[in-house]
Amino acid sequence: MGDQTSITSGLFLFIAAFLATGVEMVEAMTIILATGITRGWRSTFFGAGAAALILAGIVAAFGLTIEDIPLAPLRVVIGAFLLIFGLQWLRKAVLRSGRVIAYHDEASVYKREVEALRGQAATSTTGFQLPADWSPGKAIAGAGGLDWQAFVVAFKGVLLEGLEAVFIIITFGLSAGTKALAGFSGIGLAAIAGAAALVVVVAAALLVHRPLSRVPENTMKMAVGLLLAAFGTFWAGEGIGIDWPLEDGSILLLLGFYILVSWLLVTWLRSLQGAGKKAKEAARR
Amino acid sequence: MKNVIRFLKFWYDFLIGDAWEIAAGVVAALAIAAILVGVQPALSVVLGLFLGGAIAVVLGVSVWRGWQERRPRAARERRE
Repeated sequence: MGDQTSITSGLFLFIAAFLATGVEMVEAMTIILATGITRGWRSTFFGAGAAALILAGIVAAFGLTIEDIPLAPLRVVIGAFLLIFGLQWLRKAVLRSGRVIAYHDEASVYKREVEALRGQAATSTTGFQLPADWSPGKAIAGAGGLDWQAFVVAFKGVLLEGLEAVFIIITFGLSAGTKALAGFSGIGLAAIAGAAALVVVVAAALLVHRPLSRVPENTMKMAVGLLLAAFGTFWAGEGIGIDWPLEDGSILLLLGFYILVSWLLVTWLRSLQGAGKKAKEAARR
Repeated sequence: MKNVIRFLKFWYDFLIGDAWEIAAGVVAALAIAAILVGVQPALSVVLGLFLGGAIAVVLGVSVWRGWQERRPRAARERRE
């Protein structure tokens, strides 16, 4: 009877840790997917990989005392950066959708780069060497071979969410006591739940990344801007001491609010552009 | 000296880019919200609404500036 209670409690611990770490991993994966699709995978993976390495180093160095690391200042800094990057992307996407600036034409950028690269001693207009395995349709990296904005966004997202996932595993594991499942208990069981959540989230990301990459560029950039702004507001707000009423669910509310604001701004810009055209036609007559 | 300027320019372009009002607005909104949370912690739920609203205003102002900057150019192009 006692063993059965322990197994049931262990199962609950597993499910709770799986879901809680899963939420953090979905948040990190959303940022990785959004950044990878819009800015290129190489720099995004470098950023995420660097964060994972640093995270592993922090866990190895601090062990269970990792809970003493103050998350609030980290949340404020990361949230503020994500907000700034997100709003910059969103601003451009809104101006494009509102027909104030031209849509970014990737094909013409590639063509221009290729012509410059082939015609001028293999040096592109941005001053970087064309990779040997490059082909049309493949992203060209920025300074130092990396797109630093993609690197930083992915790095911060993975580092913060990874730290939160580690905190969850340690908190759940320590509070679990003797709850056991399949021979594992405490932190070991919570860590297995976290690993299972990671596998599920990565598998889901592999399934959805191809359909997502077919979304038009400006739509995707607007979506990324909206996501970064929502995550950034949430994290920075948490860091300065705001109690979000729905906890992580508030990210969805913020996202909905920013979608509404962006739609209103696009509608407003289009009406301004339309009014300008009408005035021009009236002046011609 | 040249390298220092280059270094600072890189960080300016990286963080601020062509819309300084976004970085300034975000920092100001967070600073005001942080002060208000410190002064009146009971308001922390309401301050979530304030922060979301302030960020929306920052976006609106930046988009308006973007439109203002490009409007004369568009008018010139139309005249040509």
